[in-house]
Formats: sequence, structure tokens, C-alpha cells
Amino acid sequence: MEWAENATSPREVPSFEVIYEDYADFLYAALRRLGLSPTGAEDALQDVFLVVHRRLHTFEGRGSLRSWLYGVAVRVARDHGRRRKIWARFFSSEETEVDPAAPASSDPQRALEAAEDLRRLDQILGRLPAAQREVFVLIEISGLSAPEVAQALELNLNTVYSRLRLARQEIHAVFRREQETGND
Amino acid sequence: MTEPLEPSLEKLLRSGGSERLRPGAKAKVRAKIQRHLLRLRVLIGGSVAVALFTLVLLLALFSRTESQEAQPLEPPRAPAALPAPSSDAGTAFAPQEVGEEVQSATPPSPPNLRRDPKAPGRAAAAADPAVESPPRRSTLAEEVALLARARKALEGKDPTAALEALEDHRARFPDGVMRLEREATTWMARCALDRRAHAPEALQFAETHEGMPWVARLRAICTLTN
Repeated sequence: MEWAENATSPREVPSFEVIYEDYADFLYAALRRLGLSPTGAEDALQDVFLVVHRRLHTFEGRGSLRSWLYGVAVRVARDHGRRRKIWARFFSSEETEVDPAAPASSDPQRALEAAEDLRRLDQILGRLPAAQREVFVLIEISGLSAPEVAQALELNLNTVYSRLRLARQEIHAVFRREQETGND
Repeated sequence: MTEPLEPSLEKLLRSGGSERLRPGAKAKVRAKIQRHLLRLRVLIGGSVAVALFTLVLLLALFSRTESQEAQPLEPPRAPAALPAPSSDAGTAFAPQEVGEEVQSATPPSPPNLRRDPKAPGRAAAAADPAVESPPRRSTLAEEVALLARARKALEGKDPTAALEALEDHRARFPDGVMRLEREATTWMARCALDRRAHAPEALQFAETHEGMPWVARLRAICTLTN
């Protein structure tokens, strides 16, 4: 395809189109867990791939393509988060992003449960400071290794582990509190 | 060492990674990316063509001016060998007229393009080789300032002034970071001017951007009450 031209590196990096096919859904999930709404995440995904298209030739296969892509996604998510805050400052603060109803599915009950799970998860993740949330999402949800996250976010590996530990402590605490109040 | 995650929490986390783009969204985002890349290509191609054209003209002009300036430095021939002064010879050595020729031969310069009120942003981007670079912080601040001006005007019940600010933004940052917010605010301003005329399109816009933080406000401003 025309849009994929000039986007392949000589070092066997997959073409832009292949990367889009393989990663669009996973990066979308990560963008959602980083706090973007469905529409916001789609918009951000577009920006992620524009950056990928522009920079793919600079990726020389020294590190993992996956961590590079997630690194781009995290940075774009930060930008979009800033935009959202700016907007909230401009207009009334009671406006918050509302997720649309669960997507249609052959099993509506299951779709509703899945949507409820995601809402709950995002609520829990929302309790984390942004820096911890990024590390936690990439490792525990997107399945990256700590060294990959260190590369993606250009962080010291120890910092990654430290943020992960703090995030897990907080998530555990929130989750347990939630379950206790749910059982009461 | 960190304690292991509880099974129910692990299940919840797995569900977080399994979310996928909505049906049709993958193709929609791909189409948007293609459109954006095409626009960039046209923009870059156009700017390269203009730059080459300008360069060629300047080179031609420079070599011509040089050859004209070199002639008076040649050692004078014997007076008898000089041809009778003619009007042609006069113009060839008249510096002010060479200057006039330079002016008339110079193609429209980029600064003139930049002053085009219809597309200053695009022209500036076309002249800028770093057109693909992500917006700098100062650019974002400028975008924000323009949108703030629009918002202030809207709050001050002056939707026309808001639209002017938004047009400024559109002209300067057609593909700016805040483009979606600009469009949303444009619909708000239009609805404030004539709700009946703009409500259907504005509400359609809100529907296609369900979940964005400004949707509720857009609906509140544009929904017809009776």
C-alpha cells in the first residue's frame, strides 16, 4: 500500500502496515488503561501511528519494537491527558469523560459484565499517580518486561521496579478495600 | 519481593488488556492516518516545488546580475573602438534599472504567502522543513490562547467573536493538537448564533465523538428545547 512506503527499515523491521495490523488493538487497550476514553483513545492511536510512520526509519532494531511502540503510546497518552485537563480548566469542571455503553455483542450479558469489569479496573487504576500507572499498565496489563518498560519510558530499571512495587501495593489496598465494602 | 496478585485481581487485569478497538474503528483510524499522510505529502511536495522554483530563479538572476556587474570592470578599449552610445547600452549599465529588473524577475516570495489571510498556517508550514515535527510547547500555548479567547467570547455572549478566534486557530493550526476542541467550540458558537440551523449537524458531531469531555456541553448548547 502507498501509505506504507518509505516506512520500512533495512534491518528487517516490519512494514508500517504490518505494525498497524499487529499492534493497533494492543496499543488501543494500553491507551484506554492509561485513562483515555474510547474516542480519545482512537484519536490518540491515530497520533501514535503518525509518530511511528515518521520515526520508524530511526528505529534500528537495537531494542524491542514492542517497547518502542508502547513508549510512543505512553507519550501520546500524556499529551492527550494534558489536552483533557486544559479543556476541563476552560470549561466547567463537572464535565468528565463518559464511556459509552458497552459495545454490541452476541452475548449482551457478557458484554455488560466485561464493560463493568473495565469500568472497575479503570477506577482502581485512576487511584495511581500517573508515573506508577504507566509502569503498572505496561507490565501487568500489556505484558511488557521491566527492562522493556525501562527502555520504553527511558527510565532506570530500578526506578521501574520501585514504581511497580508502589503501584502494586496501592492496587492491592484499593482492591481489598473495594471487596470489603462490597461484602459488607 | 512483592506479594503475588490475587487471582480475582489478576483476572480483572487480564480483562484490561483484552479490550479491542470497536468494530470498524480499526479501519476508520487507518483511513484517517492515510488521509493525514496524503495531506502531508501534498504539503511537502508543494513546498519542495516552490523552494526549487525559487532557487532556480535566484540562481539565474544571480548569474545574470554578476555578468552585468563584471562588464564595467573590463579594461576600457580604445575610444575609437567603442560603439556609439545606444539606448541598449545605456540600460545595460544603469544600476537602478538592473535593480528594477531584479524586482520584476523575483517570484512571489514566501513572506507574501505567509501573509495570505486565508492560509497563513499552511503557508508557514509549507515553508518550514520541520512541518512534520510535533507541536512545540510554545505552539501549544498559542493554540490554547486562541481557544481561551474563543471561550471567553462565548461566555461573554459574543459567539461571533468566538468564531473569529476559532477561525484564527483554524488558519494558523489547521492540524493543531487542539483541532477537535476547536471544532467542538465552533459548533457551540454556531448554535449560540442560530441553534435551529446548526443543531442537527452539531449533535451529529457530538454523537461521533461520544465520550469526549466537551460532548455534554455541546449537547446542552445545541439541543433544541421545543
